[in-house]
Amino acid sequence: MSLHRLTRPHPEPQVSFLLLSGGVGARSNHHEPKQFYKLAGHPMVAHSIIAAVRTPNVAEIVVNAPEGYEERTREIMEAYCAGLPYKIIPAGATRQESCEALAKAADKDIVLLHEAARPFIKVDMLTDLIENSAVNAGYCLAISFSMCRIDSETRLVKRGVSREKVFDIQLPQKFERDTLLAAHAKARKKAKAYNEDSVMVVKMTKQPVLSLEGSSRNIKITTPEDFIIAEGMMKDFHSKGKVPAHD
Amino acid sequence: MTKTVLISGASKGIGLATARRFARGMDDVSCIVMVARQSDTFDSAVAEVRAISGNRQIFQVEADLSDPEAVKCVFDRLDAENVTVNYIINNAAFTKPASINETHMADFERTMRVNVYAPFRFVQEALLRNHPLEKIINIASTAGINGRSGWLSYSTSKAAVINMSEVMREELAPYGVDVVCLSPGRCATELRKTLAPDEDPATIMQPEQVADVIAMMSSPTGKMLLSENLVVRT
Repeated sequence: MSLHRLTRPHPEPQVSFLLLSGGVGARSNHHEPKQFYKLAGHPMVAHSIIAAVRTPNVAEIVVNAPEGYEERTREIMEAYCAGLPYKIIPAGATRQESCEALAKAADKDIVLLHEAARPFIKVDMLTDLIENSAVNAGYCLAISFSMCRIDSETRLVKRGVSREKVFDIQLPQKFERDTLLAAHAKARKKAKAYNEDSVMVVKMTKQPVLSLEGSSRNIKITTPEDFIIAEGMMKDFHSKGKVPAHD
Repeated sequence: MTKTVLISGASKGIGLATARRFARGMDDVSCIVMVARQSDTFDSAVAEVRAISGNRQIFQVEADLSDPEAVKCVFDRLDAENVTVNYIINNAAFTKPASINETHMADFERTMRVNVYAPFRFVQEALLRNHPLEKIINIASTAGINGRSGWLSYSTSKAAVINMSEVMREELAPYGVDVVCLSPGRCATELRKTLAPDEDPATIMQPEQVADVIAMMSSPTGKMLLSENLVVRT
């Protein structure tokens, strides 16, 4: 299928959209990795691509492909990128490796990091992040439930955890690419494992990362039950607070 | 922000009435793309719309929508002119009414190509080329809600348009694009004359009335209309 990109300029700052899509769906009990499962008719990964393509500052998309799904990933990128340049990067053995590979492949100095397992993403979430004056930032959500520490051996409750001080880390996040790469390089050198990047950047580079107010709808799809919930949520997600298309 | 509306089947009937309506009174529409087959009727229609359109741009794009390549050519032309489309009004239609016994497959196929595949291709091509779509209005028919004897191919094609619109509404939601399906009843068009040659056109709904509904649907008020299949009839 031949694609024709309209000659519309990307406003500054131009950003690379990094899309983690390396999972193999071990917990979703689906016949293929969960990012290919359909939500509202589109593969789950496509919901993130649609938002990125409709965001004027996004100048390229860099996406992972799990082993064996390079061709399926390419088919989806061809169908949804609407002429926006894209790169497909093999997924690493861990999320951390996949993320570093994406950041290394990015062309732009500013990168937005997102994951295919979060399909409840809108253009305004990306533009608000891009327009925020903080160089490194990400969405974090206040936790609405009670938490406690438990002794892992005795299973006895030890003490409570203050909700004022603990937040749910969401994606998307925005980073200066060089800062993100420096954090990954240092973590690798020190053999430190992280399962997300904002804390890694703070710990490894001492650079500040601003938290923006997240959304309770920005759920991460993991289990078969999550897909059932997401299908229901998707029905009115885009009709509320609709964002006009850019031109 | 100024908008561009693309209208298929714009040489006559509901398509032309809609082009006139946009040319006269939609403040935020600055460009109207009129698509139809090459004909003197089309040339006259475009001249008439240009005459009343003020500062609005009117693009005349000739295309025979029974040709599978036609929609691609329309968008090639728009891209060459750097025209981006916000609203698509899928209005073009073909019919050749016949009983089951007398239906020729070539006519049935032409009906499906013009009435079903072309509207699909307009939407698909706009997405693939990243046009800033906001609203799709698919013109179906009350004949697509209930089958009519003697109109097998037309009823079938319009039923497909109604169902296709439902799928489009869900799949285009993540793009922020509204999809409206409008099913006019008896309307005084040339297509209606083919379907009901003995009917007095003066006694039924006029294309201008449907155009008024389309204009309203394209306005901010229209954003509140999310009916699954809106029937308009007199």
